[in-house]
This record gives sequence, structure tokens and C-alpha cells, in this order.
Amino acid sequence: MKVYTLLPSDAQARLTAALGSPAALVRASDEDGLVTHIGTTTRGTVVIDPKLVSPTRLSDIVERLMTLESYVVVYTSLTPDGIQASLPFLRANRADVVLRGYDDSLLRLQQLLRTSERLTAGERVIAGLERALVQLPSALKTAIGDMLTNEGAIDSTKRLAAAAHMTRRSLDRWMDKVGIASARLLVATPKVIRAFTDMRHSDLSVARMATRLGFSSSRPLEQHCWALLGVHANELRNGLTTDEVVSRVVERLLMRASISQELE
Amino acid sequence: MTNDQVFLEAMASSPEHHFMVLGAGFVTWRLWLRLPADRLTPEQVHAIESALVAAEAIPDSWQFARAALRDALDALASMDADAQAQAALARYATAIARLAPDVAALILAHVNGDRHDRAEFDDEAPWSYVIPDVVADVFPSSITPRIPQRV
Repeated sequence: MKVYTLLPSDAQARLTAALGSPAALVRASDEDGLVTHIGTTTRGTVVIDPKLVSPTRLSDIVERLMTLESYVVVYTSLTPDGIQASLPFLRANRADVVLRGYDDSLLRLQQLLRTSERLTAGERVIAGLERALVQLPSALKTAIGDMLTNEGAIDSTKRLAAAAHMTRRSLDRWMDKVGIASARLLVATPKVIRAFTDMRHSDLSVARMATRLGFSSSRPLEQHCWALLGVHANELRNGLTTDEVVSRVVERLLMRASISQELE
Repeated sequence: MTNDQVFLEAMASSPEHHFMVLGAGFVTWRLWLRLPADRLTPEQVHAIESALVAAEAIPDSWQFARAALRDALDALASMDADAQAQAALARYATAIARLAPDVAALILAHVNGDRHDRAEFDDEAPWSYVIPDVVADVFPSSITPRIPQRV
């Protein structure tokens, strides 16, 4: 996971401590450097102090980050100019705010980076499914993209079908047609990714995680983990890397397509 | 409008001598929401107290708000003081109801929402827990806070 930053030194150091892996941070020295680093096509995570952006470039930077669908953490100071400069990011609706010295405990920063990791994993699953998704009606493709990157918005096959303006039966037919294992497994994917990012390196229990995900017991989470990853839920803590989770999920979701190709 | 935006919009449009009372309120409220997962550190207590000291020149109308916030902070800094912090935050919200109604409504929505799981704060929309009766009790009829949509 790459995290692009435009921050003063003290904030950069704190973020590095929270991430525990300096290599994952790509620091820009100014706004132009940030634009160069994030490029034009890469979705990524950006942690920015908007006070380091000149007021004349602020709206341009906000627009660029939102166009790229970057996940943005505004990490600034509790001062009138810091808050004023942060508002364009909040108004654009895709930023979390952290206040330096007040609100930036390592736990808080780690939680935000986990959110970022979750979004990134969801986006990588979308990329892995691309050959199947490209065959879908655009409304369904968009709904699946939203579901995998915007946790909580669509949490059932019924809602996925509604978001795609089709019946549940049509949804199943499209899954069959493009070779995705099932709508049910697809809907379970963001929940399993969240369980992975929340439980990894933590002592969070499976039962507590299941509650967080809105399940009434641990059983559905166990079933989803086994179906998508081939592991028990408690093995999410230390057993897998993000790369493995993404590749296993994609492989499992496209299993039907692979079998069809072999039969052809 | 997101929860953060409610607070930050109010802070950005407030006079400078009100800013730190709202700013310290924002931080205190968020720390309370994250309890017990994220316990208040001595450094954070010091930072917020300093912010309140910096806001000494506030007008009388804000003194009650600041005092309530100090109570909330004291409660947060001690262990097992969740209920006191909750009550102090409610007093703070009541004190700023006329001056920053959207922020006051946001805080009241939380402190009166007994179903809200604060550990889930980053993932859920607390606005679904707004209690209209409580809001009606606190706000003068001439003020109608904007209640953001679920985000």
C-alpha cells in the first residue's frame, strides 16, 4: 500500500511511526511534487496538510484528488487557517480530518490507514475481476465498484440488484453469464476484506468482528472467510498478506469462469 | 454534510475568539466517541487545556461552554468517568446551542443516543440516532439546527 504525503516533518514522522513501514510512504516536498507522485491514473491514499498548498492551487488539487478517487486524510493544525484550508476537502466528501497534537494518537492514525488499506484492497479486487466486470451492464458494474470500495452502502444481494436497477434473478443470470461464482459471495467480499484489515495484527475477537459487520453470530463470517479465502476467521489475524487476500478472493470469485474456459 | 464538516464549517465561520472553544469541543467530543478504544493521553489533555487557556478572551456567553468543556476533559482524563463526560458534553452542547446550533445538535445526537456504538464511529452515521425531543428541549423555537442526512 502506497501512501502519498504532503506534510511538515513532525506530522510525517508521526505518520511513519503509525505505519511502521517508511517504505510505504511517498513524501512530496510541495504541491507540484504531490501531483507528480500521484500521477493521472493511480487511485491512492493521500495524507495532506492543506496549509502547504497555495490558496490559488487548492481547488485544483482537491479536484484532481477527487477525480482520481483518492482516499484523503487531511492532517492539519487546529488553527483558523488550517480549518479554512481543510473545508474544500470535506465539502468534496472524501476526506477524514486529523488535528495535529490533539487528535493524532497512533491508534487513530492506524485506524485511518486501515481504512485506506481496505479501499485499496477493494480496488485491487475490482481490477482482478475486470475481465468479467467489463461484460456487465454499466449500472451493475458501477454498483459492484461502489460496493467494493464504499463499505456499507450495499450489503446484500437484494440491495446490489436494486442499485443495478434489476431483479435478483437478473443479477444471478448476469453472474452466471460472466463467470462470477455468485452474487452472494461477491456481496460478502467487502465484509471479508474489512474483517481482514481490522483483525490483522490485533486482538479483536471473531465474535466482536462479526458484530461490527452486522452479523448476529460469528457463523456467517466464518462461512464467508472459508468460502472466499479458505481459512478460518481467526486465521485472519496473522496468517495472510493483503496480496494473498486479494488474489484468493479474485481467484475464488472467478472460479466458475476458469472452469468454463477449461471446458472450452 | 458529514459530521466533521458540521463542526469545521461552524469553526471556520466563527469569530476568532470563539474558535478555540469550538475547536477544543470538537477534539473533546471526538475523543469521547472513541473511548474506550482510544484512551485520552496526558499529551492530549495538555494540548486541549492549552487551547482553552488560549481562549481566555472569550465573551461571557461562552464562559459556561468553556467550563462544561473543562468538566468533560477532567472526566475523560480519569478512568471510568464515561457518564460524567457524557453529561458534561451535554451541558457544553446546551451552552452553545444558540451560538453554534448545528454543532450542538450533533453532540446531543451522540450523547443521547444510547444505541450508538462509539467504537464504530468511523464507519457509521450517528445522525440516525438523533433524538428530536431532546433537540426540541434544548433549542429555542427560533433556531432550527440543520440535521445532516445519513452519510
